[in-house]
Amino acid sequence: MSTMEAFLAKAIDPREFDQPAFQRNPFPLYKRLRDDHPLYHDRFHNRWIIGRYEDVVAAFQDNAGFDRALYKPGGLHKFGSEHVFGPNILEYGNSPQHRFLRNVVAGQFVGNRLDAFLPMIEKIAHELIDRFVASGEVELVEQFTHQFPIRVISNMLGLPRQDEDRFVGWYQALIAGLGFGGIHLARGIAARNEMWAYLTPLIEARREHPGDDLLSRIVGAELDGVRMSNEEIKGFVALLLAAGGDTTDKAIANMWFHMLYTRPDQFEDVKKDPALWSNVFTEMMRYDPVVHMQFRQTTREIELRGKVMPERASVTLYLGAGNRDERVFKNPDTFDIHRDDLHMGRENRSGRYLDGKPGHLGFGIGQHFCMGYAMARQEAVIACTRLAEALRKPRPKFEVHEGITAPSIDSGGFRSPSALWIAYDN
Amino acid sequence: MTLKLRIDARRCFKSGECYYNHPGLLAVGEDGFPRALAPEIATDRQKHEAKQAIEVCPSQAISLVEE
Repeated sequence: MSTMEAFLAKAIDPREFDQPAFQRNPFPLYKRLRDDHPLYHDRFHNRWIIGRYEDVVAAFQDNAGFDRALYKPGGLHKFGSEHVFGPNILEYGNSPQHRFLRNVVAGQFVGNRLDAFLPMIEKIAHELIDRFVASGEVELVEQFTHQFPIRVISNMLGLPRQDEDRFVGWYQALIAGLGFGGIHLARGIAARNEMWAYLTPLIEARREHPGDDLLSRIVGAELDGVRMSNEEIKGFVALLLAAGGDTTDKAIANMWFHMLYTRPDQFEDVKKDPALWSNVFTEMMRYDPVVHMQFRQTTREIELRGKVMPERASVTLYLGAGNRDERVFKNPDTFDIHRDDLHMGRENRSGRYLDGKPGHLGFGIGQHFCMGYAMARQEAVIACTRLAEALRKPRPKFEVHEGITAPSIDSGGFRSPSALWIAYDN
Repeated sequence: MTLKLRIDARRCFKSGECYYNHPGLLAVGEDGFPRALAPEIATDRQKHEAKQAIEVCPSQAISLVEE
């Protein structure tokens, strides 16, 4: 083979990233990225792609070299004006504003604060299961996963329980609006405006009479003596409802999909020992997490794997590719809840573990590590455990399933089954 | 008497929450464990941040002690 032929044999056509085949099964292309193009310059989409585990971790940990923000605070761009949530923490990059906003709520989703919410999380799980348990079959996505985390987070915020159904509707439109624009962005912004009108009197009430809930905490938070504006508060609430709802929603569906279709043999182990749902969560977050990509901008020229990215380059970190890196995990394409080469317990923002094992990349690492990591795990494990207790002999209703996918352009690339029918004895 | 941040190395599991959220108060050491940067917690702002750092620690390894 000539040098040119060898080069062409390994070349990636960047349009492959836009094909339905890639959305259904991105893993073969991920492997080509890792093996042949560890730093891939995708000229068609004007971005650089990092796919190896080690390199993704290093980029996450390099705050000085990689920023998350597109715009600088204090510049021409009005934060929130182009975002379905309105002004929110995700636009603020590595700035002091970001740390302030994160600190307002981060402590509420871990430790003792989270423990205090566990009875409420249990209660909501039971309420939802009671609605369908007698029927002998359930479409888990519509009847449970779309319903559960959004009710938990709206409860934490202290929003009225009788209005939860409205939040379920709004939040699905918000999530769709996070995708790639068009009609979905318009619908998302319409839902946001409706929700904002609903929230205004509730925010005013918290200003007058602060309570113990998360909304009161957000309303009362100060940075250098300045409180957030109503717009900023509403943007924050929209973010929490969407981020706190959607990802956990899809995570629970993915866990059940893998137990029903990918590893029914290991599902038997989990039925015998429900503590293993925690491992199902961890391995799902490695094997095919809900979120496969994170985006960064270089702050300076960065050399990696023999190439140089320019300053202000758009970089895509493929978590989904790093998680399948054969340099780190044995048999990376096998879903295995008993694997001994993955840190199975709770995740760390630092990416360092006392047991010395590598963790999954599904929550990111570092400055922008998922704020709800502990809560997501608790919610998902509680939901799956209670479902498995309530449904006798759960099994797929249909033998064939289309699988986990990023089904349409409005999903923002988040991966989950669009429907999941389970039959059981009642 | 001075207020200080104490980190219990037996409880800490290197989550990184404290030094990522409060880089003015804590930094990560070579061993992955956090270190308090200031010799004491003196100002109101430091106290406020210290309380948040205690809250956000998932292993409850941080405390404020008087010495």
